[in-house]
Amino acid sequence: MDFNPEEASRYLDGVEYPAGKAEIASAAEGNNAPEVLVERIKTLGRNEFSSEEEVVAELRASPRST
Amino acid sequence: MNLKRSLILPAAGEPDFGRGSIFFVGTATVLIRYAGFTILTDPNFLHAGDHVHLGYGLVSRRKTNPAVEIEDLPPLDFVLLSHLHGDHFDRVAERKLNRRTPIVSTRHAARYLWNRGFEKAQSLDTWESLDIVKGDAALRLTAMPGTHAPGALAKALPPVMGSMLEFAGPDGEVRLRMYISGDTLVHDRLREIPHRYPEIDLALLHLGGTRVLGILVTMDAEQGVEAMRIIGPRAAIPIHYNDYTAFKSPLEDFKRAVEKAGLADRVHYLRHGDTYEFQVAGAG
Repeated sequence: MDFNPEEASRYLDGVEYPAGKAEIASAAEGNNAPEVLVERIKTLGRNEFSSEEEVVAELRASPRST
Repeated sequence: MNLKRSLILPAAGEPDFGRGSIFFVGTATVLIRYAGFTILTDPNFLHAGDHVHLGYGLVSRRKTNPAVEIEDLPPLDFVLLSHLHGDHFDRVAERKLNRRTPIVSTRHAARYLWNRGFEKAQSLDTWESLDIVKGDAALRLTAMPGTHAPGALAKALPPVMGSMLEFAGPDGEVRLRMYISGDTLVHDRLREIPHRYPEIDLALLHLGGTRVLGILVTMDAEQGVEAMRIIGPRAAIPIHYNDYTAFKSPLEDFKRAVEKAGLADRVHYLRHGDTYEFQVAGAG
């Protein structure tokens, strides 16, 4: 899959876990993340994450939005 | 979280560490081939007469053609992009580059690229490295400091990075160290580069003496020579020197400055379409 988790993790700073995906998406937005990444976080299959690693793993596993 | 930044490419045959080449397409676009890697820099495939935006609503007209069309490039391992400016990443590149090809650049550029479907775009902050592995060859790519413009104008221009490419064999020993300046002026942080990298085999210098609103935003002849003195490469190749109307410092000026400085034996000149072939001693 094309998605690049290393690059995604740049935009996930400042999130306090556990965190909901809306909260994570909003933090990513605040970190000036690409819009496509913010959208992707919003549409993840899970609602709650206990660590950044979990978010990245879920992003990695989720299908492309486009 | 601090993920180790790495990129694993599919292996393809035995890497040749003994020789490599630089093919000059035009502007700052070169095809670097060494140790089994094929790397494209700053893809600019516009043609003579096309215009690019350089910020502040200013446009510059291309005066040259690329030596090859983007469709005729060999398969690329990745694209190295110094910054997001129309003479370095243009609409042709955006439309025609394979979206699965990794592009390594600044955060500013990577964000833009990602939003346009280049999901393998990666960013490097200054001094940050990405380890790229292809079979028995390894390439450590590190972002070097760059400053596109002085003072207030800097905010109007995109952030820019230089690059250090360190090619190593399976033993980890660096066989070739190549520096690419990016669109930078000579600035204080350049002096840190030779401290960290005392031995640089080859430098690609973005010259041209580009002027925006009359202000110098890329190295001219004198700055190019100064950069050579600071960086101290064994060999240097000027690029980005005659392609746009905004490039005000002709290559002849650099040649004269190089001769005056006694550096003529170190500089190799490429016209569009020329290839510089090099041999790497002690590597086989």
